[in-house]
Amino acid sequence: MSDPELGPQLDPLLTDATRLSIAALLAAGEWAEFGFVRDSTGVSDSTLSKRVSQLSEVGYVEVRKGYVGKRPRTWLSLSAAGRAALGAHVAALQRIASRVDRPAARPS
Amino acid sequence: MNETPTPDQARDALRDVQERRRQATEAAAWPRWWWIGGGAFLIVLGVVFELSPGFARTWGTIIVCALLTLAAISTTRRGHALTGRQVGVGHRPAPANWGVAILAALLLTAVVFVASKWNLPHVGVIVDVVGGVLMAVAGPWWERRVIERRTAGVE
Repeated sequence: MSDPELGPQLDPLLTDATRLSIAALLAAGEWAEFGFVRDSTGVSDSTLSKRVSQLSEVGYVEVRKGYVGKRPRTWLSLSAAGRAALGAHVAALQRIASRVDRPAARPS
Repeated sequence: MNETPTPDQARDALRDVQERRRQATEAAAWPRWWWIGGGAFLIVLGVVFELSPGFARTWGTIIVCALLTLAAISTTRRGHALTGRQVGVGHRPAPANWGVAILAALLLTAVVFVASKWNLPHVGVIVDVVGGVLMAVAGPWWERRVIERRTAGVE
């Protein structure tokens, strides 16, 4: 994820806005309910399932299913690998974003 | 396909990350009315214990054990679901928090010791009223601060 000279690199999986939102939501806590992530990102159940599957295939997201009373629940969590990938991705985004802030260097 | 975002797109993405973090922090916190209800319960309990020492002797331990059990259950996934919290944060206290907790426990013990030595009147109810008001007023602020510290790391 990181180049010694260029610094952290963008994660191709997280360049998708929905996947980045999912990862950011999960990074803020230890776990989150599927319904919360769906409502927060504003996507459908099937879209979220698909995105979560893509993230869990590479080991970024872990899925746990259970029941509260008789109602089935799904909990999502960001793995250590997912947190590292998100951290590197955010650092890369910050580097790109800072190019606007940095005034052009004057030629000496 | 070039997927490198422009600086503006990167800024938008960073804003989105911050917004998602804020959403998750909100969802992890107890609803404010739980804090207010908890504070009111503590005050009522203190007054009842003060007015009826017999009730305190009979039910005090049971009530405290029940409250501790409820507090433990509330930290589980199911407990979160039952109390309307959809995000769970870790419960691993930082080393610095242990120091603060030990200091607070020592302070509380010292206050109780001094109060019992000097035979101060109404100490129990005063502690409960102050604790209840603090819980209702400062509880949500304190919880948000703790959650934000725990979730810090992805800026």
